[in-house]
Amino acid sequence: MKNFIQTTYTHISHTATVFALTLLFIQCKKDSPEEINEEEVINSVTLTVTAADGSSNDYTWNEGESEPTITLAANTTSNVSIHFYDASDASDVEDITEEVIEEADEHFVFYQISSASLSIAAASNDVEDSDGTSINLKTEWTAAGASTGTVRVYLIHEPTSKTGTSRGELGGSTDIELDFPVTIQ
Amino acid sequence: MFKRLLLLYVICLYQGLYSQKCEYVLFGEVFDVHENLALEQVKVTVVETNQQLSTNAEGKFLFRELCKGQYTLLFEHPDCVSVTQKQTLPVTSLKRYFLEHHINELEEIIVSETSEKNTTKTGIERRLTEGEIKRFRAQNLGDALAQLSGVSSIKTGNAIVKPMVHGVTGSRLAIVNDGIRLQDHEWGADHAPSIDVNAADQVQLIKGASALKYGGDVLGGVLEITPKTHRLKDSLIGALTTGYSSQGQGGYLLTNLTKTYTSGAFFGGATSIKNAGDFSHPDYALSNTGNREQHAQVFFGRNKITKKWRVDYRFYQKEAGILSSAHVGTVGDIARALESDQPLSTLPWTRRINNPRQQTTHHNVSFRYDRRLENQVKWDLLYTYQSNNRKEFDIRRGEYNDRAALDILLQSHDLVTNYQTAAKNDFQWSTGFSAQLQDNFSDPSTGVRRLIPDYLRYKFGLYWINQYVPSNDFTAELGLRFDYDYLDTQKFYKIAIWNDRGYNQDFASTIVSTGNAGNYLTRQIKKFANFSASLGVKQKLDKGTVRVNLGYITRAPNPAELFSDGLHHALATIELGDLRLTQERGLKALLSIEKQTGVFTYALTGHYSSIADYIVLQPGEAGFDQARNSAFLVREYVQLPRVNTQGIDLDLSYQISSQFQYKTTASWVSIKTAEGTPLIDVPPLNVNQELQFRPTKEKPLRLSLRNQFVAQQKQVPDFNFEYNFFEDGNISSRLVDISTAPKAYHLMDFSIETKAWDRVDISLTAENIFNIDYRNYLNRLRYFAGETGRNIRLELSYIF
Repeated sequence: MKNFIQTTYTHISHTATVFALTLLFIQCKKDSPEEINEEEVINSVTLTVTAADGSSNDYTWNEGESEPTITLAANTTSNVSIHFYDASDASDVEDITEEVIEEADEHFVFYQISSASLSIAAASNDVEDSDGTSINLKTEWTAAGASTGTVRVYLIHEPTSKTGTSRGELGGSTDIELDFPVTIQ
Repeated sequence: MFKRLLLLYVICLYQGLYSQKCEYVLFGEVFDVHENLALEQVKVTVVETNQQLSTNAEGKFLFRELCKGQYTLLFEHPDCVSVTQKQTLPVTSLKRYFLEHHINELEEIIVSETSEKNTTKTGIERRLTEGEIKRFRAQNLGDALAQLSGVSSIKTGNAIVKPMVHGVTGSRLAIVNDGIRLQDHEWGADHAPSIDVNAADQVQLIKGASALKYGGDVLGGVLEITPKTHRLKDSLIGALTTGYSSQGQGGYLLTNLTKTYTSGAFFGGATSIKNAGDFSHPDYALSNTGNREQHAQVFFGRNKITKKWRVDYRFYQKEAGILSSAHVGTVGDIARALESDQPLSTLPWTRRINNPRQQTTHHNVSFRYDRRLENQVKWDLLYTYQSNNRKEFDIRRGEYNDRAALDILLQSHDLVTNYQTAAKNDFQWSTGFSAQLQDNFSDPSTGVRRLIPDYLRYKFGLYWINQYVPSNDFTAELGLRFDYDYLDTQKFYKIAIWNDRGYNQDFASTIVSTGNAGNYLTRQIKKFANFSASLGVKQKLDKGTVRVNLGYITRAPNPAELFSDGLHHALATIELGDLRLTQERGLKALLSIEKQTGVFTYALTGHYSSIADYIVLQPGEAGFDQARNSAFLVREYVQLPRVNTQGIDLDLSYQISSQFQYKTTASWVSIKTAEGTPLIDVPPLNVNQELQFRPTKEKPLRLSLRNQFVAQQKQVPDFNFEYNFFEDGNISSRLVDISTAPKAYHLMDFSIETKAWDRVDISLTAENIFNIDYRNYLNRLRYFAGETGRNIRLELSYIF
């Protein structure tokens, strides 16, 4: 019995020693983490509409706001260029459009029109990918008679196809999807 | 050398030298060299004269009045193999008799002690058979465990498989590897446990919260992976296995090797290399679903009767592609994927793994020491260091494409000690203490908001279990456990979100500084004291056993639940933690009726639990992140006032004839709030059946036909949302049904195993024979694609 108590005591003291040693190694302070400035978010999109008469208007959507209404003159063709921004830091707005152009093969801007008498086609000065496909950063919007409707804009990342009439046919993932109301007058 | 160590020494110290006269004396001493202790009660017989003696407390014996000539000595001991030795008298020099120790007896003490011993005396335990481990050695642990009743798998695609017990997973389910809980298991449903089935010797499940030794916070149960205690013989055992799967054109090479010595010393290792390309559905390719895995393990140690030690190092690395069509950016992408029968992104077959992908790397070092004293008194000490790193690569732009979007390093030191006292007056108690230091680091170079912040965590646990065994038929067990959890977190909050959640009122004092990018740096210190208890009773009946188990569970919210803040691209979901979460508490009761003998055996387990303040991840009030213009679904960790779970597990086996065996496991579980709203991701009813055919006992040929039936989960919460679809030039708003579970399905598997040559096993397995097109409710990527089609697997194994 004495022997047993002694062994037990030895074990307990060994255990205590190991625990004490471990506690010595415990670090009690961790360095302050570094703040992350997210730079890849698209939280602002601008459509610059240049009418046939040369007048130009910017329609900008910012995160948390609803999309502004685009006004077009009936029976005219306007040149529209789209820009994507990361405006997380108001003092340092980053133009993500440049990265889209650099990676033209992996990007595609897709437009869908509802109700309005409007057709959209790539402009001749549009950015093309390595296959010569226009990626719709610069487009021509041809408005017919007076009407109202919606233009949905998608920026598609890594589309599996750049031809198709519905979003589903193009594959890839959607970086941004916005519905701009359109009034043709 | 070691031979000598195993054997008994018989040392002749003295004998007479008078010739012709029968006056010789044989004086000896018997030792158990294993522990270098004298062996008493060894029966020694001189066969010719029929003289018989037992060794005394010092292991000594003395025969008198022996004549010159040859005698046969017989040594007998309950722990030893009886041995006869010829001895010619007189002996002119010191003689040693080598007697072999009873190997079974030794193994009973050393091997069976751990291999067959249940972790709890009254708990409801199930283990994977050796055959099942073998069958799944090239697959995921989650797939292997799903063979047990009550276990299902929650998946992200086909390569990331996480076990679920009674419908719960994460920190409600402990995965214990050689005495220490895996710490990376709390990382969410899209993280599989870092266990290589090939290197797992024994896998068992303890249902409910009865294994207080490992924690009092497990509602589901404990999955315990324990290494085998090696046999005490001089041997080299191992296997070299290679296989090919038609799915993904996958190949694998597995090795394991163990060298053991009669002295109890052993060393060994295991390696696994797996490589698969894109998997496929019966009708289409599942792009970017390839995966690679590398595991390695080395160990060494020594087993003796009174002490054992073992050192282990494990390395586990896995890279898995995430189904390309599951990479969605907006809620619209989910809506479109759901309306389409086929994935919206299908790419040519490749072995390459592209973004999005997940890469996990784990290192695990452990040391274990076990001591046995008299009267079943046991003591052990374990130390483990775990380093778990998880990286996720997303589809990003420019320089970021090669940079991880998530990079978490979780390091843990665990120290555990357990002590069991001698049984006294039918009572026996055991106690233990555990301490943990954990450091989580999220690399800021990802350029993406941290999903889990940096933290230090200290945990201490203390348990006490008392067993009462008044007879062979009845056992009662009462356990108490106390845990203290201290969490020191440094986390950035977006000021807008901080204010939006009302933290500016309740947690203003935690703000450390204001950063340049619109964030508050805050320091959150959380302290939780958890108390849990368990009461179990086991009663043996004529033909079976009844077990009842009651557990009181307290679980502190884990860092993911408190602090999650980030985007899961695979589901276009933002997950948000809540600083206000408190502990969840509740009771779980289990009742099990078992019959383990005869041709017909079964185990029926019913379980019920009622948990207050149950933490669940579910869509927030708004459903969408308004700030991002409805681009993402928002899921928040919330606490439900009360959640009740109930279920039934069934295991059944029938030996139809000497050739046919039928086995089935079935589980059903229901998890609902007190108001009757079902919870998300609860496994539907599932039934596994197997018919085995062994034509003859002599031939190692085995055919097996398996069927898995999974019902449709009808109990689902409604998380549907409206989306404006664009169709034929018109916008129409329709409900997107993300809630309804996929239809029921049946899967058939077939396998044939035999010996090709003397030491070569061959097996051919066909999974999903009929190439069924189905979707799995518990696969988080089910909105985007169906499950894999038929798979033919050929495996060759060389055993030595």
